[in-house]
Amino acid sequence: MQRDEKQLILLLRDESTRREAFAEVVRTYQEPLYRMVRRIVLIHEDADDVLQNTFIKAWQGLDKFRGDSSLGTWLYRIASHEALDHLERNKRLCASIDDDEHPGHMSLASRLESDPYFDGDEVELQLQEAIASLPHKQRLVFNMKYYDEMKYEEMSQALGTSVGALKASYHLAVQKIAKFFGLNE
Amino acid sequence: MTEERLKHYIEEKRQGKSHEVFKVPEGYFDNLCDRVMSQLPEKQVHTRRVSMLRVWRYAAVAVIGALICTSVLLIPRLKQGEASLSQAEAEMGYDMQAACYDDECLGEVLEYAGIDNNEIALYLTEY
Repeated sequence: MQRDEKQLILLLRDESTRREAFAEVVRTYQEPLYRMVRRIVLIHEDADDVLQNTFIKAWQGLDKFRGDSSLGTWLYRIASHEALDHLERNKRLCASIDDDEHPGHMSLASRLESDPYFDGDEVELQLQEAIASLPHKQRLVFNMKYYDEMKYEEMSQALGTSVGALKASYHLAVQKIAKFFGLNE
Repeated sequence: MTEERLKHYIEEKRQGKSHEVFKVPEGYFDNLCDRVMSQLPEKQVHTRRVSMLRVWRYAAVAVIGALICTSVLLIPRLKQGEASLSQAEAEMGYDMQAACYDDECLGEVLEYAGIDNNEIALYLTEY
């Protein structure tokens, strides 16, 4: 039986029921969080790592959850930070191995095509390439709005960014992707 | 406006075929919870880190406390000592502090002790 959020928070605060309640949190939020993370990092293995780290960090930081936002928003915030950190780490790693002896890392299209858990056609590959060409934070904002259809207020709580800045970021992202498809003329 | 155009363009390109392109291995979500839970520490460890600011604050409180204790205990004793000195001076009829620094008084003391200039010169030569 699934409990409502208030009950779940009370159980999380009690040390004797905390573990059981946290398992319920994982089961409730694993799929939506995975979808969000996967669209950012694209490859299943990476999304799996990021998602596990997200839940471990959430467990470690349970005492800091004051209930100002919903559990989902709080977890979204942790997951989005983890996903962005992962992208930054990968960027540094790719930059460090991308020299004359190692001529370029695999293009995103090649990586996605070789991922057995990607089932997209040519249009999807192009769209993912366009999204991946955005700065990391714009990529996050675009995915949350375009795919998850989140409201700006929710996004603002999850990302700790003002609604105005998010609107501007989304507008820029859409412009860039439209340009990528030659729709701006 | 651009957003609508973009969505329309993507939909057209997809030719109405819309599905989840990001797949997961079979049974992935059935096992994820157990995998996550097995990695969590059994009990959350609450470690209290003492910041340097807190250390300095405690040190400042200790110093201020020591100063207050010193002043509370020492000042009455000093005052008591001063009062005893004043009382002794009053009994002897002159200012002892001034006596120590006044040549005229020093002369009086030497005269009272029966020491003349020759004895002083002899004393200084011997040592």
